[in-house]
Amino acid sequence: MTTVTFSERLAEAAGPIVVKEVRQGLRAKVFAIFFGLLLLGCLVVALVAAAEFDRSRSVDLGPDYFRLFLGALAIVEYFVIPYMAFRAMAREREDETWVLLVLTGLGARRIVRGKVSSALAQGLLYASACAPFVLFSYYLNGIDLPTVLVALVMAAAWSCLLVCVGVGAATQAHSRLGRALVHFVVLAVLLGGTAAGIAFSAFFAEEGGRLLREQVGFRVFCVAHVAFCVTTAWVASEGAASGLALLSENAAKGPRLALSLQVLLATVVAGISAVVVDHGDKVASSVGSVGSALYLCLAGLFAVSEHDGFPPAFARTRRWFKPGALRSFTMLVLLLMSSTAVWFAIYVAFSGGREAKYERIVLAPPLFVVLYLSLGVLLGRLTPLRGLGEPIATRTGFALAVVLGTAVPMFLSVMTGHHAEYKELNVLSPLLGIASINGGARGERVMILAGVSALLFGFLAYTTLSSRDVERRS
Amino acid sequence: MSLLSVKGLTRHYGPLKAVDDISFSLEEGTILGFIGPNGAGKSTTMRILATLDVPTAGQVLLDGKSVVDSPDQVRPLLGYMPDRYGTYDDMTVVEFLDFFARAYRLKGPERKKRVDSVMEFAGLTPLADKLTVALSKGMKQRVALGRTLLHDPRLLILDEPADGLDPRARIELRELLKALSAQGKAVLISSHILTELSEICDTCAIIEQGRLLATGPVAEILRGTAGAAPHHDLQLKLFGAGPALDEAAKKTERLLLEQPLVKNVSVEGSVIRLTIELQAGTAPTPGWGEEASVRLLKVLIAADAPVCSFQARELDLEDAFMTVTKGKVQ
Repeated sequence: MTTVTFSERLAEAAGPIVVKEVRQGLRAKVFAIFFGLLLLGCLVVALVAAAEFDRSRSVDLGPDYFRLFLGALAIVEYFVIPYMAFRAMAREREDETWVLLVLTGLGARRIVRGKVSSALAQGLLYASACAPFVLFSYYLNGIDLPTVLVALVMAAAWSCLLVCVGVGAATQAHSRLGRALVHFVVLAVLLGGTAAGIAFSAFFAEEGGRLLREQVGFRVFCVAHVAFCVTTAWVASEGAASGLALLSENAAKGPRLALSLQVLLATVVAGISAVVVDHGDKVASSVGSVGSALYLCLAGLFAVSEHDGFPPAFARTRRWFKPGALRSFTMLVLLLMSSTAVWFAIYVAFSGGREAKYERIVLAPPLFVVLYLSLGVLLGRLTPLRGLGEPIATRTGFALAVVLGTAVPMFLSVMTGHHAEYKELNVLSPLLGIASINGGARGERVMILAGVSALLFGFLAYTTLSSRDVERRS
Repeated sequence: MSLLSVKGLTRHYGPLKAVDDISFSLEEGTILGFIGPNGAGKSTTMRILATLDVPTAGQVLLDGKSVVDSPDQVRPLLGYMPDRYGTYDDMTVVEFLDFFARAYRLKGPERKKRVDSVMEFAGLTPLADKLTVALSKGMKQRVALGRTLLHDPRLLILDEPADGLDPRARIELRELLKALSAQGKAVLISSHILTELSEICDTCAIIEQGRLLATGPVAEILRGTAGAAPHHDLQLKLFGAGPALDEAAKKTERLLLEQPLVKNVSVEGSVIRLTIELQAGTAPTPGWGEEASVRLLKVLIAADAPVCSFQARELDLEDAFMTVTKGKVQ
């Protein structure tokens, strides 16, 4: 009789991709090097901490050493693992082995899930190596266990987000040039993410315990951070699956569903938080609206970069899940509108007195997002950029619109004898225009112009996408 | 009913007609050679058949199931080997095959048995623990072929499998494909090496600019290529080198073209190919071709042409390909 070992049963349950990735990951030199360095580093720091603790028992050394251990772990969890996950997926694309995987019936979503799971499994290995040292910092006094736990949960969520962003980015580029560009962007994002993660860890080690005990708002922030990381990781992994989908598969459904549910969840959580905290803070709703608009701008840029139309095979798919940039664009505008409406409602209900300045700050960012995404769509479809294909053309069009929208008014200002930041000409600039929104009558003008432009270009983008959608389907 | 049936398959990329209304079918246990110049639409057609792309129009049925409407039902029936082998450098041969066997949802002892049998069939058993990066091109190609066989598909789609292989590896591949065909598997294979295809294919399809120019059994296509009139194909070789050989070749070509019944004279280095063809409607007498050949050889010797070899030649797939296609690409 054949006996099935525990490891074999575990491997069957984990799935082929996880088995392969973990096998490859553990065999890689990078793993051995960083695992060794992490252990060695933590050991040295722990020995120093023990010696120092022996000398001065009355001093709280916990936060300082907790910060160091967390910092060491952050380099691995926020940079090394997400980068390795990115490379693993990028190699799969470059060598076109993902096609062979899809043909086995695994499906794009399972491939992505496997990649992410194996990266997280490796992350868990690193974390378990570091865990005794992190716990050791608790015995050095000055930091309590709930703070340690909250910090670890937040760090895990951040790492998960960065892994998914890395995997998602690897599926987006098709050409060699695109891959090189994405590589640089991913490196920049991961370096930024690592720096931000380390900075926040340092702050959290110092102030986290006190803030958690004293401020409801900070507790809400911690929950929101984890929720944001997890849901954005979901959106990014759906984006990755969409990037791997074959033409015979519906690439649009997953990301649209994930993004819509995330926005819905965020607005519900924002509403509940506003009731629970009942803080009456105008700034919170302004920051919320600006943050939502920025996030939807980034996520929307990928959504509206879809190809136009859809193959006949999807004719029977439900309307909102049919592929095609037209439906993504419409969905994005609706999401922006609903999210802005919720933030505005929160502002009105809890701010304790309305102010035109804050109203404009809540309402203006989505208008700028619609305006510039529409310009991206139009430039990508009505100019020679369209030769690059819809996804790249739209993203390039958007980048061009933002650069021109910033540079041209500044140039015109200088040419007409004013300062580059001359506000009358920089009304629709994506940077200076928004920045001047809080200024009295000028703010009103910015608001009206942004509204009219967003409406006009949004309509033009919609009609362009509509006609191309019909054209492609026929 | 045919295992694979392709009707009116069309694939447009904007104004480019990559595949334009092609139809053919494939039975179990047969090998179909898919021939065409680069950019003719072979790979696009194969990708559609492998469910990796969708057609603009037309119908593709594999065992009665549509590759467009039911890709999930079709995938277990086919094994696709793209022109890139797609192996993982840091995995051994057995790990690579085991991974794909897991991906095909083969479990426990059944998976091990299947991996072992595929390795044995492809001659990979001695290389089981070797990293794929250390394998030769021919061996990598065997690993890739082994991967396509893991789930025991009924149709194999092989895109340029012999590309870049040395002669020994090509011969071994040929033998493997023949064995697979004998097992009842249908094989659709594209290749530029037409001499290889002509030896293993039962049928072939010639495609150019997305359009199917000829399809059917190889012998039938060759008959069509040769034309209706009785003919006799010859090949002769000239002795010499450099400018002297070029001069002799030109002189011989001119001389041959002056002879009655001689057609299709082509010179390639020191080799000259030609056809002796009776006029359409003329009834050939027994041995007419040999007689004509003797007369021609006498003429060449009398003209002092440096002929060192003179023999009859069978038409092959290469001739059919060159005759049917015009070398146009998109």
